[in-house]
Amino acid sequence: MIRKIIFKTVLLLFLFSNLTANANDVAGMSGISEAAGSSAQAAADQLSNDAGKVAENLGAATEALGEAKSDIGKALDTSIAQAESAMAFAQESLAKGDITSAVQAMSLVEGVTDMALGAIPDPNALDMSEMNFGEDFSPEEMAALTSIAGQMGAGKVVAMQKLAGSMNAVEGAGFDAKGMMGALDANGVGIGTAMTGLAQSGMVDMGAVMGTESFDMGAFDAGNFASMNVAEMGMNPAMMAGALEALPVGAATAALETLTANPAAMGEMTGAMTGAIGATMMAKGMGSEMMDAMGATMGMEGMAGMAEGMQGLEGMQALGQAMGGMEALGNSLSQAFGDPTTGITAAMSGSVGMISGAISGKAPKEKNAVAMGMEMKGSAGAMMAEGGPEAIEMPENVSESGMMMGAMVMAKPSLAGGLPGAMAPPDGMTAMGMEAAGAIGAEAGVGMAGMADVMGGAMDQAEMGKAMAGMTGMEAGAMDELGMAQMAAQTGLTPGMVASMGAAGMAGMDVTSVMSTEMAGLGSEAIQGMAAMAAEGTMGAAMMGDMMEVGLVNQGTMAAMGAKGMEGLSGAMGMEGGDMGLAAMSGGMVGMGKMDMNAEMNPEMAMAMGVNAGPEGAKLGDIMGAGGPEGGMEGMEGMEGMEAGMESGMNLGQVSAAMGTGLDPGAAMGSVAKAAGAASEAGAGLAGAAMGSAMSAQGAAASAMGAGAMGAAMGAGGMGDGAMGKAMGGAMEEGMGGAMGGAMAGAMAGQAGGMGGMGGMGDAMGGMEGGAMGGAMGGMEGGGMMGGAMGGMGEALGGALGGGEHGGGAMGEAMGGEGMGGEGGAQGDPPLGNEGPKN
Amino acid sequence: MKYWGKLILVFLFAAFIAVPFSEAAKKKKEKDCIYCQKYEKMKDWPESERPAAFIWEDIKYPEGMFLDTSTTPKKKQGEAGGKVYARFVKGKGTLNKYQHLMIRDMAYFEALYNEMLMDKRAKVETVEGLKKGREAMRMSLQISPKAKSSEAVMKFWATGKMLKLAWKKNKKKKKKKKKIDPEIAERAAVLSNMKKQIALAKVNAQRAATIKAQEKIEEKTN
Repeated sequence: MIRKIIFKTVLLLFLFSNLTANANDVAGMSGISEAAGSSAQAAADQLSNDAGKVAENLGAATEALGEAKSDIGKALDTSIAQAESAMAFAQESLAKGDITSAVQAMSLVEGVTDMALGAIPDPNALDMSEMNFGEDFSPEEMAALTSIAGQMGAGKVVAMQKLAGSMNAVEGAGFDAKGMMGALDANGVGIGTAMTGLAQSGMVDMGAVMGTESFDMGAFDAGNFASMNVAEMGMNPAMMAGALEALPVGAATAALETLTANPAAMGEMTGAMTGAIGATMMAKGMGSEMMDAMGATMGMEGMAGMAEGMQGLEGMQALGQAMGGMEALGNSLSQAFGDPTTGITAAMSGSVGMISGAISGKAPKEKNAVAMGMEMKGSAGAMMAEGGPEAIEMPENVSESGMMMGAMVMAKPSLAGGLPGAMAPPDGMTAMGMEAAGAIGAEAGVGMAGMADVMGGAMDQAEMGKAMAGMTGMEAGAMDELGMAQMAAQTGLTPGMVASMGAAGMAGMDVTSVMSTEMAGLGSEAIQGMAAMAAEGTMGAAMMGDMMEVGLVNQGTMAAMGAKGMEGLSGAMGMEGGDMGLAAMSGGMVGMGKMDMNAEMNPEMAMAMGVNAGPEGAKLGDIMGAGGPEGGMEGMEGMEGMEAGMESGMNLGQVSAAMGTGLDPGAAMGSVAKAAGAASEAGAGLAGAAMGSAMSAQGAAASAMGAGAMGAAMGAGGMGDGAMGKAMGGAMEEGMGGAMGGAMAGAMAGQAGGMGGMGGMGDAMGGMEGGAMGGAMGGMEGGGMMGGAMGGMGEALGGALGGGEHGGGAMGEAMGGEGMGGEGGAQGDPPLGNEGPKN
Repeated sequence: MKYWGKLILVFLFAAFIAVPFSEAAKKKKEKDCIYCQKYEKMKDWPESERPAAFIWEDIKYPEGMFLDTSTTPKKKQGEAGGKVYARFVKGKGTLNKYQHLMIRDMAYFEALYNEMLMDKRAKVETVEGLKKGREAMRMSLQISPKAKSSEAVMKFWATGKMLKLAWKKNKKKKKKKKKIDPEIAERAAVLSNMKKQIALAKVNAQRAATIKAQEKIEEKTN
C-alpha cells in the first residue's frame, strides 16, 4: 500500500513538473537562444513585479471599500474579488515562467471590468427600455434602426469573443474561468448575462452558440464561440446585415461560406440572407467581377445579381419581411436598445456625446461614475490611482531589431486567446486554432500556427530571417545566433506583423484588435483564393482596385499575394521599382516602389477604387489634389510632404485600411502619404513605418469593433527620447491626426464607464502619465494625438458650419448669401475635458 | 556709412513686418480641398467627372421632414440650411443637452449637402467643406462615408425620433431618477484604475523584453 502511494506520488510529481516545464514560456524561449530566454525572463519579472503592485493596490482598495449595499455595488464588489483571484493566478503562473497564462488572465480581468463598468447606469445615456418600436416607427425607420443596432452591436459581439478567447486560454492552464463567470453571472455582470442579452436582441442565437435554448456555463465552449464567424453564431439576418457594414469584408465572405456550406441553416431565409450579405460587399465597393469570382469559389453563380434589391435600407426592409414581418424587427430592436447588456446604447451614447462635445466645445454636465469616483477625496478609487505600476521609460539605444525581438517574446502570450472569429482571421489564429496548435494549456509549447495554413511552406525560418535582415539591416549571422529567425518562425506571423505588434504593444494599443485587422478575412477561402489569384499573376487591375477599396490589402493578404502579387498591385498603382518580396513579407513597410505626383494609375484600377480617371489613367497628383495647371503641387498645403512620402514608399496596406472604412481614395492616399512624408523627414525608418501600420490597423479596428478595440494604456508615454521613440511618437501623432483619427476618437468615447463624452475622455486620459495622449486629450489645441483627431473633426465641422477661413461658408451659401459666416466649429475652442498632466 | 546702416535697419524692419503678412496671405490662398482646384462652381463640374458622393440623389425624405411648400431642391436647400444654422451654429451651445435634436437635425445637414449638389452657383470648395462636415457627423452613428445620402437621412431621422421619444419619457421620470450612488462611483473608479494598471503592466512587459533583447543584440553585434 505504502509503495503504491509513494509510486503514485512520484509519478504525479514527475507529471506535474513536466507539465509546468512544457507550459513554461521562459524555458521555451531559452531553448531557442540565451538571448530569447533572457528577454522572456525580463518580461516575466517585470510582469510579476507590476502584477504584484496591482494586486496589492486592489487588496488595499477592497479593504477601504467595505461591503456594498446596493445590487450594482455588490456586483462590482464581486468583479473586484474575482479580479483579485485572477491576478493571484497570474502571479502563480509567472512564478512558473508561464507568461501566456498570466497575460491571458490579465486580459480576462480587463474584459470582465468592461462588462462590470458597462452595467453601471450612465447619467448621460437615455433609458430606452420603454420604447414600443412596432407602434411608433414606420418599417423604413425600423429598418434604419436595425442597421444601426447591428453596426453598434458588432463591437459587443467581438468583445465577447475576445473575453471567451481569454477564458479558453486560462481554463486550459488550470484557472477556473467558468467559476469566475458563474459568480459574476449570479450578480448580473457575467458572460452568460451578456450572451442572453445579445441572444434576445438577435446578435447571437443561443442554439447556435450553446446547442441549448438558454445559456449554460457548464456546457459553454468558450474556444468554439470565440472562433465563430457571424453566420456560425446565428446572428439574425437583419442584425447581420448591419454588423457586416461595420466588420471587414472578409467577415461577410466567411459568413457566406458558412451559409453555402449549410443551406438549411436559415431555412427559407437563406436566399434573402445571401443577397443581403452580397449587398454589404457591394456597399463596401466590391465590383461585380470580383463578386462573381468569389461566388465561383463558393459554388454560387451570379453572386452580383443576388445582391440586387437587397442594398441599403431597401434590403433591410426585405429582410424584415422575410423574418416574419416588422413585428419581429420591433421586438429585437426593443431588446437591442433597451437592454444595457447589449452595449448598443452605450456605444451610441459615447459617439453621439463625442460629436455634440466636438461641435459645441462643451463637456456634458453629468459626470459618469468613474469620473465621480476619481474626484471623491480620499476614496479607494483615488487612492488606487496613486499607486500602481509606472510606465518604463524606453532607453535611447533601442533599435528596430530589439523591438521585433521583444514582440516575438510577447507574441504568444498576447495572442493566445485567439483573434475574434467575427473578423474572419486565419484558422490558425482563432482560439480553436491556438488550442489545436498546442499554444495554450498545461502542456503548451512556445509556438503558434499563425499564418502557416494560409502561407503553406512559404514562411520557414530561412525566409523569415532573410526578410528580417532586409527590414532591420542586421547581419543574418548575428540574427541566427540570437535565435531571431527561429523565434519568428515559431510565432507563425510575418516579420511585418511582428514589427506592427512590437509598435502596438509598446504604445499600449490593443494588440488583439490590431492583429485582427492585419489578418482580417484570411479565414475565408474566397479571400485566400483572391490572394492566390494575385500571387499567380492572374488578377486583373480592376480586382486589384476592388481589393484596395474594400480594405482587403492588409499584412496577411500582402504576404499571401507574395512578390508577384505585390508587383501587380504596386505596378497598377503607378509605383516603380522596390523589392516586392520584402514588401510582401514586411506588409508594405519596406520594399515598396517609388511614386510621384505624375505617376499614373491603371485606369481600370482607378475606376475600381472609385477614382474618376480618363481612359489614359489617373495622375496621382490629380487624385490627391495637387492643383497646378499641370498637376503640380501649387496651392496645396502639405503637398511637398506628401510627395516626399510617396518617394520614400507609401504603404498600400495603410491606404487600403483607410479606404476600407469608407474613406475617399484621395483622402486615404493623401493622409498616408503625408504621414510617410513626415516619417521620412524625421528619419523614422522601420519603427515609424511599423507604428504607422499599427495605427492604421488600430483605426480600422476602431471602425469595426468600436470601444473594445482601444487599449486602456494607449498613450502611456515613456516611448523614450531616442530616435526610435521619437519616430514612433511622431507616427502615432500623425495617425491620430490623420484620416482615421476620428474613428479612434469615436471608439474611445464609447468605452465602458470611463469615457462617456469628451469630459469623461479628458478625465480618463488625464489620469495617464504624460505622453502624446495625456496632455492632448484635455485640449484640442495641444496638437497631440487625440487633439489631432478631434481637431480634424472640429476643422471639418467648423469649415462646414462656419465657413472657416475661406470666407462665406457652406451655411451662408446655402441660405443664398456669401457671407453669413457664422461661428467657427469646435476647432480651437477651449479644452473640453480636464487638462492632462504636463509632463 | 551711417546712411547705409539706417537703410539696412529700415529694410530689416520692413522685412520683419512683411513676412508674417505674406505668410498669412499665402496661407489664405491655400485651399484644403481637392476638386476645387480644378472647378470653381458646381456648374463647371460635369456630372460625368464627379465621384458618386458628389452626384445629387433624388431622395424621398421622411414624412414631415420638409414643409409641403419645399418642393424644389433650392427650396429644400434653403429650409435645410435654416435648420442646420439654427441647430449647429446658433444653438450649438445646447447640443449636449438636446442630443436627440442634434441627431435628428443631422438629417437636415445631409439634405443640405445633397440639395446643394444641384445648385449650379454653389462653390465646389464649399461643397467639399460641407462633405467633410457630413463625414464627421456620420461618425456619431457609424454611418459609412460611402453610404448614400438617402440612407444617412433615414438613419439620422429615425435615431433622432427614437432618442426624442426616449428623452420625453425620461424627462417625465426625471424626479425619480437617482444620481449615481457614491459607493458605485468609488467602485467604478477602482475598477477603471485597475484596468489601466493591468494594461500598463502588459505594455511594461513588452518594453522590458525589448530592452533586454537590445542588450543581447548589442552584446552580439559590438
